[in-house]
Amino acid sequence: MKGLGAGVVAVVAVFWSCTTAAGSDTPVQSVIKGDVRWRGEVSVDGIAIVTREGRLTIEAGTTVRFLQRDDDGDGIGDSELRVEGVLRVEGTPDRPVLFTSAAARPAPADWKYIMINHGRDAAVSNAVVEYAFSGVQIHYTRGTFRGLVSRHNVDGFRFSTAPVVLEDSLLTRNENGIRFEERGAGASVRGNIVTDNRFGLFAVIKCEGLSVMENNLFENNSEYNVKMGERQTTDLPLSCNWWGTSLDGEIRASFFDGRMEPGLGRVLYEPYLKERPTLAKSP
Amino acid sequence: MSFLCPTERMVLPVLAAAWLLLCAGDAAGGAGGVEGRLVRGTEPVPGGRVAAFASADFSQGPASLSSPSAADGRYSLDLPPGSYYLAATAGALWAYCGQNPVVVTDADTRTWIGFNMSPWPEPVVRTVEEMELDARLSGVALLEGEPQEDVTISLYLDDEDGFRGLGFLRSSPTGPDGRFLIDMVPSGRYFLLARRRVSGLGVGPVVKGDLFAYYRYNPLTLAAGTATDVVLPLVAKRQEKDVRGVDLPEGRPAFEGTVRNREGEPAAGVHVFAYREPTMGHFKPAALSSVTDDRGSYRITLPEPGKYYIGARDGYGDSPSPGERFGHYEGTPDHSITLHEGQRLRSVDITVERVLVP
Amino acid sequence: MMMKRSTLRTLLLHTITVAVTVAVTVTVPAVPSHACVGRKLILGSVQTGRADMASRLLSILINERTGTTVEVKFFEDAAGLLDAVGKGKVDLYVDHVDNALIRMGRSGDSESLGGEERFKLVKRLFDEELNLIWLKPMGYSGRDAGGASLGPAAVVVKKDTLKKFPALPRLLEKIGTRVPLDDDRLDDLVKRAQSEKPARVARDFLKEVKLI
Repeated sequence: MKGLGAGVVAVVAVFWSCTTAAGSDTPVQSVIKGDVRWRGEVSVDGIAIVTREGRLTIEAGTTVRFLQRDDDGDGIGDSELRVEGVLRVEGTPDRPVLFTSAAARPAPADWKYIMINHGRDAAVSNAVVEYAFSGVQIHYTRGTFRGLVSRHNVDGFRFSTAPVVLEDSLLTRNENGIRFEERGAGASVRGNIVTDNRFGLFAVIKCEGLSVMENNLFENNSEYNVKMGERQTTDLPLSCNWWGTSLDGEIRASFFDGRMEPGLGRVLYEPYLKERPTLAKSP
Repeated sequence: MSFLCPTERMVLPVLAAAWLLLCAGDAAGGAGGVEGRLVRGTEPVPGGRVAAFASADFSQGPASLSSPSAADGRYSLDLPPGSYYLAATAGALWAYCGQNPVVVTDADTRTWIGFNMSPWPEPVVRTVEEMELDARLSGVALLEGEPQEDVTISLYLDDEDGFRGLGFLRSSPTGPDGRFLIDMVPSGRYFLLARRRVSGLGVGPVVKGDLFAYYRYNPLTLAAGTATDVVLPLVAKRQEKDVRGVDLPEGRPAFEGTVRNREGEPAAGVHVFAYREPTMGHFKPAALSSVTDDRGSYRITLPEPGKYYIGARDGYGDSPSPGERFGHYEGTPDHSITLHEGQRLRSVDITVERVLVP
Repeated sequence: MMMKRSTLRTLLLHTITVAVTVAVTVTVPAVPSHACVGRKLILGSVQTGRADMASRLLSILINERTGTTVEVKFFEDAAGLLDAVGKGKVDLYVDHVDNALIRMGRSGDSESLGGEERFKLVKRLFDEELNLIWLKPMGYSGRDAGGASLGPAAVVVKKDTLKKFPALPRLLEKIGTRVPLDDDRLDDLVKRAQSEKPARVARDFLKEVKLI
């Protein structure tokens, strides 16, 4: 087949994405239904669920360690924090909250993620998330993330159908710095540093240019600064960002988009920042 | 044809308008099965036969066949309890029952199934050299001979899932001329269905006011290097299905409940889903309710005992969109229920909220 | 403050319904989880150098272009792979036209057919009898241990898998149409993989031909 020609929409039988639920084999569940605060050292062995009625506040300086376990044998750790209610992460610049692997020699995907799915609200300030499959995944939820450092994950920050605010954050040493699907909800992504990932920004599918992504710094991403997914056919407005160089040709070469693969959307990067900005999380 | 054939008991001895052909059971008792009338518009169709198939793949041959319809179009077909796909043939006229699969619950109940017959021209196939290994499908969607706009044609690879979901490929909506084109189709066998939903959604059960066609010549083989043109006579759904649906044979577990919004008001028009997998979004549901009624009530009969993960939403297929009503069963932290053989669970109530609406 | 994990497990057996402050060194026990890491595809392959390389090319292409995780499951021999295919445990694999026709008992009546007709025949047989869909040939021909040709190689996908991933044909057929992977090219990649990591070789090739 040469392609899906005019008049054809190829469709995926997905009913709702990333709607997870816990398994069935263990009668024990850690379920947060009321107001709960975490401080100090917290270990998570499996899934910790904040239910729709629950509210979890994590205080500055707290370290949350996720134990390594791979119940389904897929090579991806299965400990996670799942939020369907309210999440407050109250780190400060001096005392950030750390979410990390409990392994002696940690590696990406040791644990699964902080998953905020169909939640009531999420506000995260000054947190470090590392060695997960996805540092943060957020779907069908409004959320604000400021001062987030997401590193050594497969996906640094991943969102879908979520009007998130991601600001003054550092996404580094991940496979994908930011991975997203708008699906009708625009995000605000400003003032972030996305560096030393394989891909800086991965627009997977159904991104329609609803998001504002500007004044970010994309550089030293080893494969591409921006990658369009196989069925991302709409152009993406990404003006007013720094792309690691002021040379137009080099900037274009850092995109895997419609310029390289016919049929894909193009990165609308002009006008672009001609000088490297100084941002809050500059390494 | 009224292709949603509910289970009301037969009350009216004669239908006021044969076109309506609302279906009802026969209170007279006797052998189980189906009966009804074959009509074309308002005219009875004598000499036609109704066939009952084990699946929607009619190339396998019928499991049972009625005697020819009488002068007034009446037919009768005895069937043992089970699930059947019904279609009626009378010469060049043909009709598919939109109620399919029709469930015969016991040996004493007869369900009224009416068929509105339409002529179905055979597909026209021509060779297109330059297409190499691909095929092209085009055609026109008609209602009583008139082209219909905004009809979507879906191609399914098989009938295993009851043609739920979006299908393998689908056309863009038809224009004012009723025509569609699907190009670059991998060669193979396909089931064609055409739908126009009043909801404007691309998926979900067909409801009152929707237009529908199941292609007579399914499964249609689209060969490499060919272009096939088809005519799809549509029928309009005339009546809503009873929210309680049709009881499946005894022994199947089932559950029911009410869907409400956060204010506690009944949420009508919502589907409830039951998944076998905790990662609900990645698989097709094991069972799906018809839309909730004005009281927010729903009921689902499950294929087998076990653990199911429950959710509810307006739409069906793809992810919920902003503004769409959506929610999980919150009675357990993992949104699951477990049912044993023949168990009926009540009060599996669900709260839905509009996605991303504060 | 240190607490015994068993004590904490007991404490946390009960749902937390009131305001609680959890202080210092808390282990949160929980249920075994299930991945929500996106849908995953299982690609089956035998362990010969050519099959290994072809499988790596396909898995990397899928993963890089769609974000879908692909697990390559290696089998000791073709019998093991085909057994897994028959049991539905593999979403996609690479098969060879002539060999497949022999297995289907159709080698005799296909002898007089040309290459394209044989491909059409095997595609139809697999679709109708096995619910497996052949994509377009990739460009090279398979070889058995003795070097004899097994016929043109092509990706074969489970029909159920195609329903979930309808974009797979369009993506995977880029290998074979836009970038023909003929025998010489594949052999060259296999040779390079003797001195470099095979995954690196596959990724570099896909990047070189601008598929990723």
